[in-house]
Amino acid sequence: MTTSEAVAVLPEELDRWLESQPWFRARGPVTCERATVLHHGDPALVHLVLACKGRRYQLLVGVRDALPERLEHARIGAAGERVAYEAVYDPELTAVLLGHFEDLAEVAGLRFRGAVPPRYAAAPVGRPFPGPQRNCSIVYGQRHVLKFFRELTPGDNPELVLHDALHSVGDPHIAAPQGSLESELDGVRTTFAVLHEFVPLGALGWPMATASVRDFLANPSDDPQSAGGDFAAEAHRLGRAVAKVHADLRETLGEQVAGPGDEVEFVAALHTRLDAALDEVPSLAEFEAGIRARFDAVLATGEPIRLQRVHGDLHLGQVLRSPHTWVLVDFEGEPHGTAAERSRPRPAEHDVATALRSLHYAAAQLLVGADDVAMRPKAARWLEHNRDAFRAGYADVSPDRTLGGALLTAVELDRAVLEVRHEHRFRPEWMVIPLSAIAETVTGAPAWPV
Amino acid sequence: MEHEANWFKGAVFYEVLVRAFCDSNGDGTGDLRGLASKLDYLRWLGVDCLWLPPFYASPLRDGGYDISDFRAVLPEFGTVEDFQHLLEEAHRRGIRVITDLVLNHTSDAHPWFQQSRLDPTGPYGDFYVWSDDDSAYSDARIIFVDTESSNWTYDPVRGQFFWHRFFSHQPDLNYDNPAVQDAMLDVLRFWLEVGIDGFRLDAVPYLFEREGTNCENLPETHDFLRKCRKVVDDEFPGRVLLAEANQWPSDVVEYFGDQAVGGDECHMAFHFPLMPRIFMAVRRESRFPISEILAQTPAIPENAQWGIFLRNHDELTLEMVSDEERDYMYAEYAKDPRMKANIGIRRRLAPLLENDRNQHELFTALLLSLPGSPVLYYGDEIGMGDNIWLQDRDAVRTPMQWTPDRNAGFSSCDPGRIYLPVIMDPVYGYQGLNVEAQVRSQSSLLNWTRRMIEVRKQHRAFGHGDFTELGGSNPTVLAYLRTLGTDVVLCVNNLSRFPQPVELDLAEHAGAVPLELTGGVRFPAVGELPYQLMLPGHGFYWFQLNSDVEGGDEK
Repeated sequence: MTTSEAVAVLPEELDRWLESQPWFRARGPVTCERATVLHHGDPALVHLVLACKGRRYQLLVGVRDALPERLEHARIGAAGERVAYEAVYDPELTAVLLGHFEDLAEVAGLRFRGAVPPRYAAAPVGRPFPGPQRNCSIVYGQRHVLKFFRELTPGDNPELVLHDALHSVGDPHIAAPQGSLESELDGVRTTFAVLHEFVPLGALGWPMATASVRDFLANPSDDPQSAGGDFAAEAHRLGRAVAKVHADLRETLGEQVAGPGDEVEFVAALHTRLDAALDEVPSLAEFEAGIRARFDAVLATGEPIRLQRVHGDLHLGQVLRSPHTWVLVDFEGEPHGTAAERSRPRPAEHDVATALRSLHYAAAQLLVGADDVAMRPKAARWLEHNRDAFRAGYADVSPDRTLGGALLTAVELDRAVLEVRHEHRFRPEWMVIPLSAIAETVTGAPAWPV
Repeated sequence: MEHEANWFKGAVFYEVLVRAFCDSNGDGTGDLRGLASKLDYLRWLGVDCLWLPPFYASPLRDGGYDISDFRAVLPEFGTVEDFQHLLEEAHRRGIRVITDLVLNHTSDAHPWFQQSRLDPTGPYGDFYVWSDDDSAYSDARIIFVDTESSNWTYDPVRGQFFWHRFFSHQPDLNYDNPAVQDAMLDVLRFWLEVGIDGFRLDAVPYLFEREGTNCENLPETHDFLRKCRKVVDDEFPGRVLLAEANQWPSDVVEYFGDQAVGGDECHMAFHFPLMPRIFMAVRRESRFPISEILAQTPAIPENAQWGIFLRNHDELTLEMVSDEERDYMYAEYAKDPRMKANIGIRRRLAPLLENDRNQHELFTALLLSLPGSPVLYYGDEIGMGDNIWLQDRDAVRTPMQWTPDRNAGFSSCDPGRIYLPVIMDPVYGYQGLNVEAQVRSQSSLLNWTRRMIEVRKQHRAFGHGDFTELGGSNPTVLAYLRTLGTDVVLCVNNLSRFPQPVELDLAEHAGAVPLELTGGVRFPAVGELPYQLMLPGHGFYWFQLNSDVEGGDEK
């Protein structure tokens, strides 16, 4: 099959299938910019770059003469006499991808690079990571994770850049990078996929933190430390891990002090995002003055803002507890941002703020839709206890970085405003969580739900 | 008994205090003949090997660990002939017996010490570690911090200081003296000739002293253990040595000896840090305290095995947890200061778990399925309570509760004469909580425990197999595989008190039909996608994963 034939197999149902995919956010006619056959035969593997309304997506398509029952759920549609389906569900084809990394293959400008550790046993079976996610990850046994970015933006992906930098100084809080898939997009070298070491026996921070909240809320005691599921020691270790990653990013990729003009611009951007949220969410209006005052307070401190590369979207769903330590994953930066936005240096407070906001969500999530008023002060206590632990852990590693000043308050409010906007659109009943945080910061009084 | 190599890897051990189990002569103290009379019960329970703390002649200032004659039995327990009787009766039932041997020190009442202090130039003058001052080996920590201020104590008779790592009435033997080594090897031979199946070597890390070290785990100590092992292998094959070394697993593995030859020191060693981690994991509803310590546990030689336990006659040992974790364990499990002793906690399993049957079952299931040979503590199989008003460690050494009759059926003596009062509180009192009542009740903890031991024995994978943790989506669920050839057992434990779902990656076993081991119910087959299970609060499952084998027969 030639490339042109591969394009020809594009099923007619592709458009309809794409529209049903949660990661496909463009609406309009889809064109195929590039089709590369990565494996011939039955099954065959075709790599597609699709364009729609100025956005670019990549898709791995398997093609078979007949689709076995176990792959029926991955069906895209008919491709001539054959059947096209999502290839990541087919272990025969995911094995092809890993083989290309091991061979450092180059197929029509798609370059498989890296250093995959040699294996001594049979090739691990690659299966898609279960559950909805922005990208598509294939897990190979307990050895590798191969992450395809669904949406492509020209340039090196921060995931690759930051992992390589952190790995070069032996940072213990990341999954070791093992390779990447690159090609040109608009004439610019672009990261299509990254291959990482698998972190065995890991669990995400979110279910750990919420298990702790659940336990404390069901506990008769009001002291979160007395609850069996106390999370503070973990929050402390997590704070240490984030501080270590920040310090290593400063060491490898540098740090700069924002000039006075940059600071003004930084604060102006906070106001602009608030403007957009106010247009959409009326209930935010009563806090507008308070929020703006806290944004402006950043300039009043006279403290210079120090900028560095950060994780960019750090929350409890992006941290993995391994048996040994916390591991930060998904260094792609802020979701939905442009490549430039996602690679922009930011204050370290950005990650701290998003992590603290995530703790708030963990504390309050059981209260959404619940009438049990007695739970509210307990959730607040859990939050305070774990925020303190996280910040103490951070300060342990980076005692020279003061956390808790006007900058952190402003960045936390900024994140909460973003959350209000997001919840207003998709989950209105959850809006109460970020709103209560804003209310408490602005008025100083505890607000619902915690 | 029939010689079976590595029998200890599949054995269920049962720690029993002779004093506390059964009194045959009505003097208020349990004895060897009494213990022998209860062997049918132990065989019924499924016990393979008894571990007896020391029963040697002793002034009993440290529960018998202060031995004043290595070749005599404490008179109230009986005689060497009574011990021989116990061994014969146990062996007839397929039960082995091991006992403690304290290598490190003797009682100050031991004739060796008496002669050593009186006659510094005599044959025993150099049997102990003597010094003119108390300055040597200052890097060695003091273990019994509650009672001892120094590892040196002045002896006015000899006019010198003697070295002791434990109590000041327990002088350390001087292993640099070859005569001491020979004398102790002869003690070993004496009991092995009587027929004992092995020794738990007490306090092994401390045998030698060297300036500038912490005097623990020294190479000379390992040299001596190899000598002990050689005596066992050459003269008494099939007997075992079990090291009591309360150290990190990475240090303890040294006591198994050379990996290349399958181990040439002790056959077994206790895994101390695992036990407090099990408690912490369940309290925190997180698998990580257990995952962490198992990930830090190195591989052990082919012919070696860990001993694991939930409780024993000592405290819930907290030497092996960090300060932060120790504070946490105190706060969680010892709200009353009387419950603390040294740096441990004096509770039995049932009261530690607030008499929660679900947790008791979960803990027991973990004990019976994690890597190592389980060591049960007498009375925990019926959920006995403790008496924190008693001195020191006596809280967990009260008489075994056999029946609702006088003295819990333990002794026919006048109740005032009994060595420790039986438990009489409304929850754990012997009138309601005893073996007789629990044997009759099919739903009792005793019958449940017996059934679980039975299931464990049907699968050699538990004792001899590999351990592989599975991870999984839910951090409150601890899941692992025990694998020996085609015998694959999946263990899933919910550490949370709330019901939990979990998704496990069992793709390697796609096609297998999980067979629940206690009831034989077949669960949905494993497919390509993550395997989903729902567990009740503190629930657990044991599954056989072999797709091709019927039932749970031994393979």
